[in-house]
Amino acid sequence: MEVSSNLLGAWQKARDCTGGRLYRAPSDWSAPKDLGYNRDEASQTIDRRVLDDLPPPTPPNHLHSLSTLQFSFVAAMASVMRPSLLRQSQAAQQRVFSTITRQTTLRPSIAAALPKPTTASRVAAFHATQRKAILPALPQKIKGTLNEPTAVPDPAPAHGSYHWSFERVVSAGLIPLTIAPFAAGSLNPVMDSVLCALLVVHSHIGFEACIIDYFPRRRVPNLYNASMWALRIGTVTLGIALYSFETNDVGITELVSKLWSA
Amino acid sequence: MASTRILARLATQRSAAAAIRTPVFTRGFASVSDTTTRDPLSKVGEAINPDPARKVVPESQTSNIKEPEPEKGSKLKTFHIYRWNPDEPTSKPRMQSYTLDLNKTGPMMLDALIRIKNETDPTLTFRRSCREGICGSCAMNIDGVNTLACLCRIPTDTAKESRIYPLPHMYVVKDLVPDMTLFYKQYRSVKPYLQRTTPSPDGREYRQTKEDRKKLDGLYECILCACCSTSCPSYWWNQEEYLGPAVLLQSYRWIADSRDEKKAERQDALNNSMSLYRCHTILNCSRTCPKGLNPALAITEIKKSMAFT
Repeated sequence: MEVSSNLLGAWQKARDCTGGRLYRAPSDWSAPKDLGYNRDEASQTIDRRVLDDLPPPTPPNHLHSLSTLQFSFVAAMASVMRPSLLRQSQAAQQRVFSTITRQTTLRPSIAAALPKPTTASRVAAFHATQRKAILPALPQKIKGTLNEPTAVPDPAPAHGSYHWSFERVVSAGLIPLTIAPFAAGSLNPVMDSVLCALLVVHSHIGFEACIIDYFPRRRVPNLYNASMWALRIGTVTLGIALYSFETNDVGITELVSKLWSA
Repeated sequence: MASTRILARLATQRSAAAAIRTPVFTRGFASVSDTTTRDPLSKVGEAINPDPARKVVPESQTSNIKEPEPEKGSKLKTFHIYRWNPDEPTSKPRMQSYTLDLNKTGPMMLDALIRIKNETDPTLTFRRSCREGICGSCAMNIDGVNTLACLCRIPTDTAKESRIYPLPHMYVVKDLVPDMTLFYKQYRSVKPYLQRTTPSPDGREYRQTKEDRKKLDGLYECILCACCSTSCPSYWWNQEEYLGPAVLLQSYRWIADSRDEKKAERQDALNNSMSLYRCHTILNCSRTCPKGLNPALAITEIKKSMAFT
């Protein structure tokens, strides 16, 4: 596949500008306009408005006010992590300003010398709150040159065609097994146990596919392994539970029919 | 005077020497594989939080570029277009609004884009070539659907505003131009060409029955615009390993070809957990294909041909 020279140039330029990384655009393009931003944006506008309503804090020239101000600043810093603390700190600041600093006036020379607190810097502190996508797209990495194909994995039919065929057989087998006992009106323990076994296998394959899709091994190997082991443990537990339910109790077909008539 | 000049030269030499780093730590010119070194300063913040609000600045916070010479009775329609400039890598992408008079604009979205670029904003960047849906360059996400801008009519309802984004979940080069490198590399990996070792019986071209030729209908028309691949959630999550509908359709085009002799090898290349079987028959691909093809059917045919083997 030919890549035209100016396209390649643009690509290289972009790559160089971004330090060799191209950025993937956000994932919520196809979402409607309001869906992508709702929660964070709303909370941020609230925070910003609260901050803008504040009077610009006058620097303290009064020793009595220090302890209260210290509290308010600590609370403001803590509110980076918990926005609910912000209201407390705001209240504290307003209290301070209303009682002490409003009455005391700074000399103009000192006021000019002190750095003016800007709204932008105060707002910027609140942009540091954690807004994390679950698995944000990493900068792009291309292995090899543009003219090489991507690596073709070794054939693994156990995870490929055999797995798919087995999965389809299990899924197709579940349909008659689910209908048959109720259609026939008789409860066969063998059929019941086969249904249980297929259910266990079917759910295991389904959850496994979810894990492979959403916890990619190349990206989060530890989470992948942990969730795979959790799934295996869960499957074995489910198998044991169903076995004991089948042997010691009525069995799932009978359970469903009892629930149905209950 | 001379001493200061020497000192200045020394200083510049030292800084120049400091700027030259050993090849171990810098990226070679032709290589694109080691992208971990030479981070700009803006990357430091990203290392702490990998995706800090790389969300689009909504159009309510950007300007609206109006129709240059609006007339009476003009049908003004607003387009919100995704903009991002690689020359300013730290600035967020934004939605830029453009208002056009539909009476002076062609019927297709591509006409609107070209008119914007010609008359109001020459910095708007997009790919286009044939303007008739045969090159696949102008694939983009228009009003939430991946399609070719040249095949997409502008909705004449001027009350509704159109929104144009690049193809979703692709790395953006600039504005509406996605980076298709990985897509093309994946296409190359399925060996999209005739592979056979035996010569034809009469020494002339490789012949095919009409029935065999019919099997390729609906496959050979694919123009590789990547609309289907970029509409597939599975491809969004796992595009490093899953090949995606477009490439799999092309793979099936050669698997189904009666003249090809490497069918088994082609199937083996797909016979693993990720390349083919991440398809969960979501069918976004068939729904979005601007050429009306059915990539999901092709993928299913591959799966069927490989079942129980």
